[in-house]
Amino acid sequence: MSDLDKNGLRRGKLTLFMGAAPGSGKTQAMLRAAVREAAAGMSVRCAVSGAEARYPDTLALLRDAALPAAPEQGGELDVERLLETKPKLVVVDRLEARNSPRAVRSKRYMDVESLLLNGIDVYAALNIGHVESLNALAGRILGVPLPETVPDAFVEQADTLRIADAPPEEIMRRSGTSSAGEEELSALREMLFRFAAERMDSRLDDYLQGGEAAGRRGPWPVAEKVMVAIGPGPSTAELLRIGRRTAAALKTGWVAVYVRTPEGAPFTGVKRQGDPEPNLRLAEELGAEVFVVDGGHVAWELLHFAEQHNIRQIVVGETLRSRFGIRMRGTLAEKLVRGSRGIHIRVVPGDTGPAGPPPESFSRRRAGAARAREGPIPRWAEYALIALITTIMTVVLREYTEMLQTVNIALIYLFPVLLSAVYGGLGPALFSAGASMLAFDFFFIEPQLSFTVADLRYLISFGVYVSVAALTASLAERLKQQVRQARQREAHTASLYAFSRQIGAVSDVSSLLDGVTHQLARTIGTETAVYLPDESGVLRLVHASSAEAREGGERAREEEVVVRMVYDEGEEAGHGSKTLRELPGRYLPLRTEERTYGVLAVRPRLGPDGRDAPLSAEQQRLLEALCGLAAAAIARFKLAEEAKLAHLTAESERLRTAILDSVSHELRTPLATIVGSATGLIENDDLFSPQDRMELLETIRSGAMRMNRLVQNLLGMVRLESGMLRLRREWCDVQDLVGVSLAQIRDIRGSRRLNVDIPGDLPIIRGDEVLLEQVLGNVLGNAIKYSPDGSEIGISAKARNGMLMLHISDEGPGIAAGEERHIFEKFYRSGATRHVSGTGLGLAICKGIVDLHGGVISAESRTDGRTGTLVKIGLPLPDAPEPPEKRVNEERGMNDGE
Amino acid sequence: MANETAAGARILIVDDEPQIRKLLKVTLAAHGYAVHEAATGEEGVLQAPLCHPDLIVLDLGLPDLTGMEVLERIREWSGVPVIVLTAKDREEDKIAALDAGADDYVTKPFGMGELVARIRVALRHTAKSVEEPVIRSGALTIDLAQRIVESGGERVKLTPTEYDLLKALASNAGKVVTQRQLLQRVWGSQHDEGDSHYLRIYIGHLRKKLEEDPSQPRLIVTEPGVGYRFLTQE
Repeated sequence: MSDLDKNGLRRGKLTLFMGAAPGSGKTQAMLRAAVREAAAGMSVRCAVSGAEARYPDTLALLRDAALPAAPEQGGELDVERLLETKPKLVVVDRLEARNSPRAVRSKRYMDVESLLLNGIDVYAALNIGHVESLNALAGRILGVPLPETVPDAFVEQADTLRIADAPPEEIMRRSGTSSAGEEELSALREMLFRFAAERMDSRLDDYLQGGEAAGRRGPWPVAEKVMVAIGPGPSTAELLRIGRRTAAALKTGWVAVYVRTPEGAPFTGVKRQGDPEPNLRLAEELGAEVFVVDGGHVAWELLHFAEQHNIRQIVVGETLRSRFGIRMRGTLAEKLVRGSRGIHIRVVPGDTGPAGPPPESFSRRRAGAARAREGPIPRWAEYALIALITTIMTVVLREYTEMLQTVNIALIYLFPVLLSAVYGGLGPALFSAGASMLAFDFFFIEPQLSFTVADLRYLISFGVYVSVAALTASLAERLKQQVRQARQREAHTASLYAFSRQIGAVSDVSSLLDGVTHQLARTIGTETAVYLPDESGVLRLVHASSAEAREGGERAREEEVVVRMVYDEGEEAGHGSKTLRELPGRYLPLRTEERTYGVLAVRPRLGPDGRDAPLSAEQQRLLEALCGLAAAAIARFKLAEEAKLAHLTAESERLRTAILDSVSHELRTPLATIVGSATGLIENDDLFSPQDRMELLETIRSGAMRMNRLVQNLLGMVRLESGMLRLRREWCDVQDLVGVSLAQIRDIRGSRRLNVDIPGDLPIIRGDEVLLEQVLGNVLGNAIKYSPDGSEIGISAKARNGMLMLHISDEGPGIAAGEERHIFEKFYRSGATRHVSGTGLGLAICKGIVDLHGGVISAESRTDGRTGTLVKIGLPLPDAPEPPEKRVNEERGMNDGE
Repeated sequence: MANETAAGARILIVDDEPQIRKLLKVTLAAHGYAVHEAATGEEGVLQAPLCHPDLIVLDLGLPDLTGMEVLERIREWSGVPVIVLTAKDREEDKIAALDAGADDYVTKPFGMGELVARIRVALRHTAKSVEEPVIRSGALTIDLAQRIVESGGERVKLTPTEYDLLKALASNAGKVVTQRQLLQRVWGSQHDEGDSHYLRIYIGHLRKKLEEDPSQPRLIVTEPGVGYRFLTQE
């Protein structure tokens, strides 16, 4: 398939050897072709077993060919093992065969699909009668049904079609059975040739119109389509096959439409509807686009739909009769023809054979069963109740006959009729009408106590009774049905609404996917897996509803290919869709209008019969709605993520600029002073007095020291950010730390006073001495940098609440409100202090180091009445190994004794 | 004064940076030392026995052998004082080098005065074969023979551990002593991790008893992350 080729994945080539009937020699032709390929050096595996090759000459050929046999398991192709051997070509007979129920795939052509997906070429043999759309016709020709079929879509994807043909006599001679006479065989052969010719025709058209070179084209141009009106009856199946053939002949797409009417509505020209599900499924399998339309007037809805969808031809069956078999207002076909306005209506006569239960009784049974299930009162009780009411009424009315007059009594008798019509339905209503009528006749109409009616005008009353009963019952039924449908839709909408609210609230993709799979499991009962692309665009399985949903091996590879395709094309694939529908799973793109975000793979749970339970139309709609919701939610996450990324990019852009500005300035200034001073000294040594020279040298030194600090800070930042900074935790004495830091700043302190308040009994902390000293050095350095000469710098320490608190205060300008946090961001420089040189790294490093120690660092303006900044550093106090005083005191005692 | 103690001392410089070698050569020669150079670790190991240096200045960041390897190979046959040059943020290297037998370290970038002072201390310690019984630093006097410590003429009471600690530091006056070395000398080889905790506390006690301002010590200074140094004051 071109979709796969485009993705750089080679799909195996399928060569179909088709024959008209058993014995036409297709297996032989296939084997000969395979032998030729094998002789040409191709690695071939033969999956044609002796058991299936029925004819002696084929058996002989098989023996002589001696092709290596494909691995098998329980008489079936072992696809998994076959894939391991990686042959180039696999030969398969009887493509239509059904696998044993234990097999992974139910049909042999699905095995073949697997092989093709994995890039293995396949030769396969098939009789024309097993092609889905021709199956029924072939069955009729032969007079025996051919049970197994292969979908048309599969047959159509064959890259090469080879026809194996022989004259009817030879076929008969070879097959040795008399199941098909010469005429039947001729008919089948004609079918085969027409099939091949149609294919040739479409190929030729493709070629003439620019063909596949012109890029991707659908199997059919999306022009004037064919529409099939689906009814619930079994005869629709034939309609669908006709529709498919018509569409194929016209080389156009086709749609199947089912108009759902409020059930039981009389006079709509539609009989009560049965279960349309099997026909909808069949339509899908045959490759139709399936639509379900709600509406009261079938013909009108169909025509409306056709006009909207560019449909040229409607195929409709004649079995879609009005309910009572009476032409109230003409059949559906007639109505369609009348309103068609340029649309061709093709009417197919109904199948009157005993192909299934009569639709009438079928639907009746269903409706009855439904009512019995829903109603709280059993049916017999309804009738008993009606009888009882009628009896009581009769007894009571007898008492007041004189007073009420016959006319009023007749009207009163309508009450039970109406009531039973509304609550009981048609049956009870008619029963009630009958009972009332009889009671009225017997007890009230002259001659009384006799069923004889003297005044024939009363017959009109009886007619009215029955009409009222029927009409009311129908109307009530229709209303109830509508309420039921509305409720169902309401429930459906409510669940979607709940889900949409739920996914609106989740904050990460993973819980969203959880929600989706959970919802799917609850409403549809399927296993789901979700594929999303990672950063490099490779699709990864990110979520699966259960461990079984994660498949391994060949299935997973196959799934990957399909998922990739669905993702790239944005169109669904797999079971129940238009492409690759032989796959067991269904693959839906999670897409919004702009793009596809991922793929949802849905695997229906196995039904009780061990086969995949297909999805109903309702479930499909729900599935699609959920997909849409999930896609929208994922889109929301993606957008949020992208916005965040954009913000980060902007942020890092800002940082880069800051780094460049800061670093270039901070490096160039000292460099300028160093280079200037040094060159001055070298070039004009004799110009300078000894003091000048000393001053220049001093400038060089301080410039170099400044650069050293900068480099130190940059390296520190890099080590912090890269996570390379490891703490060397040791016992540290705060006094010692402060002492070392004070020694460090001795040169730059100037005449600023120091007010050190560190009690001698402070506990010892655990930390990296060098780094903590760097923190103190940076903070003290800042205190000096931002405060005027001669001011006071305060350092105090105390232990409180398991923390060692260090406070460093200066008498500088303080911190502008709102900047207390920002000054710890790297490269952040307060606007108020731009004139002071600096990189904005020092405090960021301090914060990094203090954070590593599990401590806190904060800065604020002083609140003790003076201007200035107060930096607070809190470091956690450890649990000391044992009170050291004990040992120290013991020793002191010893010493005193000396 | 520079020339009186160091006259004629031979110094081998092992550093791969020509600029550093040049700087050291010019400065140290000006201080009256005879300077030999080696540009690689291999060359340093070869040169050491040839030029019989009195002291080696060894860069720990060499391109061929690591400074540690050079140090170990020299220590196999010689006790010549070695001063290592390191980058600031490599405390582990410093400690490893000191514990492997280096006498002292100087962090790059260094002031020349600092390096010359370290060289002088190291040379002095090798010259001194017999330990002097009395160590003086400023107002502090330590009489090793009588175990008496006096500060400004007044006797200072020290516990045995404090005294041992002070002795270990003072007898290496001017040189850095790593924590491990101190622990080993004071607590013996059975010291454990917890003892470094006590080391901090005893240093604190010593400072309280001996220093004018314990928060800005002048006698016992901390070498962050490495150990302590007892400074002698003239």
